[in-house]
Amino acid sequence: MATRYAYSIDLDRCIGCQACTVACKTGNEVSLTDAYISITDIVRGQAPNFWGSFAHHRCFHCNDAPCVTVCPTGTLSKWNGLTIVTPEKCSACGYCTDACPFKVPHIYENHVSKCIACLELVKDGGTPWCATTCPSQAIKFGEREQVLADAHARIAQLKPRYPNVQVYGETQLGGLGLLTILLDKPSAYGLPEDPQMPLTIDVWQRVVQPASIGLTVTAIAVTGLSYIIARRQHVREKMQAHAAPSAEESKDVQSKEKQDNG
Amino acid sequence: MGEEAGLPPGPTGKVRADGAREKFLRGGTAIQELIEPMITGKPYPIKGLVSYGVSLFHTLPNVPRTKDALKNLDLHLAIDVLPQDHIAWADVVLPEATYLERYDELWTCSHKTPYIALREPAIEPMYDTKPGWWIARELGLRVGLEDFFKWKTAEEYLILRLSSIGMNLDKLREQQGIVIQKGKPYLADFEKENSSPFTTTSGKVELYSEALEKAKMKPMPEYEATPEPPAGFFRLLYGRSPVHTFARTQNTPLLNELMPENEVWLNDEAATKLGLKHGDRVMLENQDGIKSGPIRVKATPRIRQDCVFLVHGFGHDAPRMTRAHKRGASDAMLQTKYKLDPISGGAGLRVNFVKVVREG
Repeated sequence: MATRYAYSIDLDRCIGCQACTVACKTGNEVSLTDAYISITDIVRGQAPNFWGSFAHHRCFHCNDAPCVTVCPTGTLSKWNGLTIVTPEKCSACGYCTDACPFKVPHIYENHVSKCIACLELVKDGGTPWCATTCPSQAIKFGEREQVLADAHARIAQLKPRYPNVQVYGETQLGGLGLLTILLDKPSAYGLPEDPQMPLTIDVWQRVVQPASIGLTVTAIAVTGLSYIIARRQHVREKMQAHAAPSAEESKDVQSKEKQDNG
Repeated sequence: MGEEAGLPPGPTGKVRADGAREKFLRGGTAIQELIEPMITGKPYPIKGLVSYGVSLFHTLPNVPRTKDALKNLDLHLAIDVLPQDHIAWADVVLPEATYLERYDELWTCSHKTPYIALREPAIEPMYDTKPGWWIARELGLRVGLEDFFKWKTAEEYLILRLSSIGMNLDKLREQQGIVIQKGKPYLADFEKENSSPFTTTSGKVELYSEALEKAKMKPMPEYEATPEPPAGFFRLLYGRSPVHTFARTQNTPLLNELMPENEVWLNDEAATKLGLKHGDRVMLENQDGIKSGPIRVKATPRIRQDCVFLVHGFGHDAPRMTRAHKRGASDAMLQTKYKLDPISGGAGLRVNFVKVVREG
């Protein structure tokens, strides 16, 4: 069985320093004005009684990844639990940007842009830049089973401090390849409890597109059929005309022939 | 002050320009106290200044006073890798090679995990820049300090230093440029040797200091209330963002992209009372009429109603730092006041008040 990799982010350890963002950008040579990771701070309450945390916005590496489902060119695909990118195949159609329930992939300079899972490093047995760099060891990477077990162990430790602490991504969309230790309910972080591919995209992909292919086939079939019928009709009419021409019709034919000749 | 308490005088035994043992008990150089003597000539005249690797207008409070002092000097020599604000106030500028282009002094660290680390150039210095060690040596030789520079190159100097621990440059390079030794992180490590990591008379962490008591200082820290902000003003607080280091990284492309300017944190309810909303551009004006900005308002519940907060290091006024020039506001510019700590000579800067004025 192939390895299934996963990342984890421990929001109790995250200090919001953005070292992961910078390491990702330099390591993967991401354009200065683009990024695969963005971090925002969220806050509730009123000083001195407030609660804050950091929200990481980056690819969740869904097992049943809507972006992969909708990608018509194979630019986005799955590899050992990670959603990987082959940018040279991208036609910038933007289906993935609409399909992702987390609004992660975006089009940058005519190509899809999102976390590429540091594929070259990982294939060589290495660790992605974000996990290597994180100074507070909030980001981890490894085999999903182990990463998940470690996350559960952290949850047990954090439970007395944060009653709503939970692992986000254990089961969602077939299990995410980025497990987040949330200190509160997903809604506090603006995350959907049960992320789904947007219905319109789903309907488009599963109903309209197959239906449109059906319609196209039907249209071609109908065109073909009508051609055959029309042709037969035409031939039959022609033969009938030659077999039993009326006086009027034969005169017309003759005069026409004359005109043609002269 | 110190001598009465039986504390030894400073290393030279002479009067210190920063007023150590006069204005405060003792400590390292109180750099902000060196500015006044440049203006008054007391206790003795200071006529020259070498600014090396310092953000003179961001690290010291009372920027207008610093500018007056610079005008009084016979020579201000600035050595830096960045065309910072104060560089324009130098008589001579010596541009330094960046850390990727030079050898530096060995980085030595004790504490939990002691180590010695090497910094080597990755590339030759670009443009007309020179490494710091080269600048120091060449200047030293010209002012009669040959005895301090009995080496010709940084490599020669480093080999000399490393020889004291039976190490050399090649060996250090083989070890990826770092020697790590086992540290003594726990008190028990010292107890085994019947010693203590603390240099106090009791050999323990002292909450009550007899040494301070002898020096007629408060042996226990006591809270002293600072003046409250006058009506219409907020106390100016400052601090750091994990993205930027001091006032030195605001112009670095990657970090500038993440955080191009600072915001003035203003309590959201206080902002509403002022008719301001998140993202509005304002000017900050302190109790002495000094202004900095424009800067965007961050209306947030994370701060008290009577204070505003700035991330330090922004509000550069240096046209050649093209990304950082005139972005955000400078806390140092607004800190025209400070309070001297009578023990250490540190500057307490959170005694300034600002009002938030809509831009224009």
